[in-house]
Amino acid sequence: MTLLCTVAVPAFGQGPQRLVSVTLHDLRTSAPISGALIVVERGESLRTDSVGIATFPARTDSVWLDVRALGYMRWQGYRSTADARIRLSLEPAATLLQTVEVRSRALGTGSAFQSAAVIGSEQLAERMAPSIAAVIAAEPGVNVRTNGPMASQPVIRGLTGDRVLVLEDGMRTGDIATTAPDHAVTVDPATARRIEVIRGPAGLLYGSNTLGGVVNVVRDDIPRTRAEAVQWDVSTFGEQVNRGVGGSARLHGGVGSLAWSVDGTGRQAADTRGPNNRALPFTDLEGFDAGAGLAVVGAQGHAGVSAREYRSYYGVPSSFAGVTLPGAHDGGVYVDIRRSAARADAEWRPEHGMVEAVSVGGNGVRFEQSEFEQGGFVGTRFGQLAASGEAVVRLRAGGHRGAIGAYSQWRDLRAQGSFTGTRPAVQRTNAVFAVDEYTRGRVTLLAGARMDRITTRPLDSTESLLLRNVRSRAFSAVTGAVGARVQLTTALSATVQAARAFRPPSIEELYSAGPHLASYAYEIGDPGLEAERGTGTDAVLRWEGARGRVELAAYTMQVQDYVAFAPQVDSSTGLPLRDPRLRRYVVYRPTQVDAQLAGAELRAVVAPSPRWLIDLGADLPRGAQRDGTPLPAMPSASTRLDVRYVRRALTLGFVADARYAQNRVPVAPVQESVTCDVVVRDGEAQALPAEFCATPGALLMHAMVTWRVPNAARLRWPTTLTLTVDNLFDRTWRDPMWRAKQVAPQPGRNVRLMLQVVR
Amino acid sequence: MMRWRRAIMLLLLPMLTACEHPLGLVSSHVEAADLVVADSLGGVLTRTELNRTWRVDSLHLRDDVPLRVVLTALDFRGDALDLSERSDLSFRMEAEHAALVQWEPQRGFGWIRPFGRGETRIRFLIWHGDHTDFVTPWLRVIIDSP
Repeated sequence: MTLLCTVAVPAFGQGPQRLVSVTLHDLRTSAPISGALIVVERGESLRTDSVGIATFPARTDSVWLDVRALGYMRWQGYRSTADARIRLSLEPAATLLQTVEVRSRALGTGSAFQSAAVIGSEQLAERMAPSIAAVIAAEPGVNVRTNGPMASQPVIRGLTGDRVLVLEDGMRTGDIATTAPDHAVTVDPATARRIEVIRGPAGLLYGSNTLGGVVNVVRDDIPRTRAEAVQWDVSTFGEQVNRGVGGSARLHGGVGSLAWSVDGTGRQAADTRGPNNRALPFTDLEGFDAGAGLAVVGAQGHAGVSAREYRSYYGVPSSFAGVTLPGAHDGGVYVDIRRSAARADAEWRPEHGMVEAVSVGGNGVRFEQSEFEQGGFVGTRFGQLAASGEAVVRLRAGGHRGAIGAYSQWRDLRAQGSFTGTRPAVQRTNAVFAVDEYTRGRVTLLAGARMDRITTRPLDSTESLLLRNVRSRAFSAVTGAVGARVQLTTALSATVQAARAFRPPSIEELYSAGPHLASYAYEIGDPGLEAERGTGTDAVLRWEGARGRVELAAYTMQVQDYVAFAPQVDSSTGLPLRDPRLRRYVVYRPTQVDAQLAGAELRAVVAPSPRWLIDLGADLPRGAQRDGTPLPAMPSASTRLDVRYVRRALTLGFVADARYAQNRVPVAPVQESVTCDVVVRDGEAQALPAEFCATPGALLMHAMVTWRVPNAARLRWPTTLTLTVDNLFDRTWRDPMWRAKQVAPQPGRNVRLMLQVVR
Repeated sequence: MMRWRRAIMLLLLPMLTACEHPLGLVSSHVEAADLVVADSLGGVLTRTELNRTWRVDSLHLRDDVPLRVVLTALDFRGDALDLSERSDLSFRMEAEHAALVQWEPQRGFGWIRPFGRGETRIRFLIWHGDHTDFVTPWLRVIIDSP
C-alpha cells in the first residue's frame, strides 16, 4: 500500500483562519476520488466532492487526518499545514469495495436513489471483455444479450435494447446499438476508467429510454483535473478462448492551467470457441478506439473539447457444429463500424451564492455501419449523424441541492442495401427538467419532473405489402421521480423511490420492413405504435461499514404499452411465419401489451478479515404480461459468489456463478412436429423461435490470480499481472436471450492474462 | 495572418467532412411485390405470385432464337410500378448456367439469349445502385433445338 499525502493548512494563530483543501487522486489512474471520508483530528468529518476535493478551516500547524475511501487503502497520519493545498494519491485496495456513487450533470456526484453499482479499474482489468455488456454482466440485475462477442448488449432487470441507455461521460453515444441484437455498443471497455450502472427507471436525470436503467462509461475524455506530471498507464492482454490479443494506453498531463489526455486501445481475436474447443464460426473481431481531450482547468471550473474515433470489424455467427442457425445466412455476416465523435464541455462553479455550478455540454457523432454478406457485398448499410446538447444550472441553498436544465438531441438515420429493413428517418428530442434534493438531519428527499417531446419523421414514406400508413409521429411526456433516503444509523440507510419514465417507439419499431440477416429476422414495424410508459418503485436497503457494504433492492415496474417484437407463428400450420419476400426469415412484429416487471437483487461485499473478501450477488428478475403470460427473452435468476484471499502482493479469487434455468417462456401455438429441438430439413435448420423455448441452467466456476510485482512498485512503476480463468470446467451453458441459443452455446473455458503498468 | 487562416481552414476541413452524412442522399427502395414477364406483344408469359412461385413454372426457348421480354414490377396492390424515371434502377437476370442463357438489357425491354440446348434456372432482379431491391424465385428455362 502506498498513500502519499500532502496537506497544506495555514497555522492556527498565525493570522486569520484559512481554508485548506485536500485533493484525493487514484494513484494509478489519477482520477479524482469522490465521496471519500476525511476525518480531521478534532472530529470534523468531510466528504470529497465530484472532483475529489474537500475543504476545511485550519487551526493548527499540523493536522491528523484519517482518510477512508471505499476501494482504497486507509491512510492515517499527521501532515504539515504550511501549504494551503494537500494532494493525496491513494492506492486502490485489492478488494472489490468500490464507492457506489454515480455522476450526473444535474446532481454532480452522489448516491443514487436507486440500486446502483460501480465497476472500478481493478474489476475492469479482471473482466477485459470486448463489450461493455460483458464487463458489467457480473453485477446483480445485469445480464448480457449476446450475438457474438462484439454484438453484446446490456440487459438490466430484463430490459434491453432501446430501454437501457448507454452513455459515455454522461452523453449519448450516437450509435445504433440499441436497434438490433447484432449491433455493437461503440465504446471499448478498455478505455473506461469506471462504469456506473443504475438499475431501474432513471428518466429524471438521464431522459427517455431509461426504463431498464443506465450504463455510464466514465472516461473523462475532457480532463477535469490538472496533472502536475505526465501520468500514464499501459495494459496488454491475451486470451485463449478466441486467441485474442489487445492493449491500451493512456496519458494524462498538464501545462499551466491546461490539462490534456490521450488514450487508445486496440484488440484482435479469432473465432470464439465453445465447450470442447468447438469454434463458433464468424465470431472473429478487430477494432480500435482512440481519443484525445484538452481542457482549461481552474479553481472554479473547466472548459474543454475532445475527439474520439472508433472502428470495429466483427462477425455475427451463423452456424455451429455444421448446423446453420435457424434463419441465419450461410456465410455469416460481417459488420464494419466507424464512429467519429467530438465533444465540448464546460463547468463554472462560482465561489459564492446559491448557484453551485453552471454546466453546458454537447457532442456530435458521425456513425457508419456496413453489414457484409457472403461474397463481400453490402447487405445493409446504416449511416447516422447525431448531435445533442445539455445545459444545467445546479443550485444549493440551505439543505437543498437541485438543478434546472434543458436537453436537446437530433439524429438523422439512413439505411440502404439489399436487405434493408430500416427506413431513413429524422428524430428530434427536446426536454426541460428540474430536480431538488433536500437533506435535513438523517433524511434526504428527492423530487423532480421532466418534460420531453420527441418527433420522428420518416424520410421515405413509401408503403409496402406489410407496412402501411407510414407517417410522422410525435410523443410528449411528463415524467419524474420522488424519493426518500433515511440514514437509519451511521452505516445503514434505506431508500425508496417512485419514478415514471417513458420511451417512444424507435425508428425501427415504427418503420421497419425487411429482412435483418444478422438478427435472423424479418422485421415489420408499426407506424401506429404508442409510447411505452413505465411506473416503477424501488426500495433499497444499504449498509456501508468499515468491513464492507451490503445492498438489498426490491423493485416493481408496470409498463403500459410495452412493445414486444415477437416472432409470428402461423396458427394454421403451427410453423413460424416466414417472410413473403425470401421465405427464409421468421417474421417479427411489434405488439403492445401491458407488462409488469418485478424482482429483487442482493449485493454483499464483506471483508471479514484483512485477508479475506467475500462478494455475494444474486438477482431474481420476473417479467410478464398482465394476464400472466411471461415476456419473451427474459434473463434467468442467478447467484454469484466471489471469494478473494489477499496475501502481500498476491490476490487469489474463486467464483461460483449459478445461472438458473429459464422455464418461464410464452407458449407457442405449435404442431407436435415442431419443437424447440433443431431439425435439419433440406439443409436448413428448423425449430421454434427461441423466444418460446426454455433454457437449461448451469453452474460455472471462474478463478483468478492477481500479482502486484513488488520490485516494480518500488521503482514507482506499479505493475500488476492478472490471470483469470472463466468457465474453469468448460461447462456448456446457453444465453436465454439469444435467438440462436438452441444451436450455439456460450464460450467454453477461457484463460486470460493481463499486464498493467501505471506511472 | 495567412498562416493562421490556413491552420484554421485545415482544422475546419475534417469538421466539415464530419458534418456530411455518411449515406448522403438515399433514394427510396422499390417496394415491389411481384414481377410480370410479357412478350413483345404484351402477352403474359409468366408472373410471380406473392413472389413465392411462378404462375407458369418454365420458359421454353429455341436455341439461337432470342426471346424479347418486357418486365413489369407490381406493387402490393397489383399496380404496375413505373421505374422509367429512376436512373438508379435496372432489371437484371441471373442464370445458374450462364453459358446457356444471357440477358441483354434494352430501354424498356430486354432479350433473353440462348446459346445452346439444355436446361437451367434464371431469376430476375431489380438492381438499385449497388444492391438488389427485389429478387424473384428461380424460373426453369428449357432450350430446345431450333
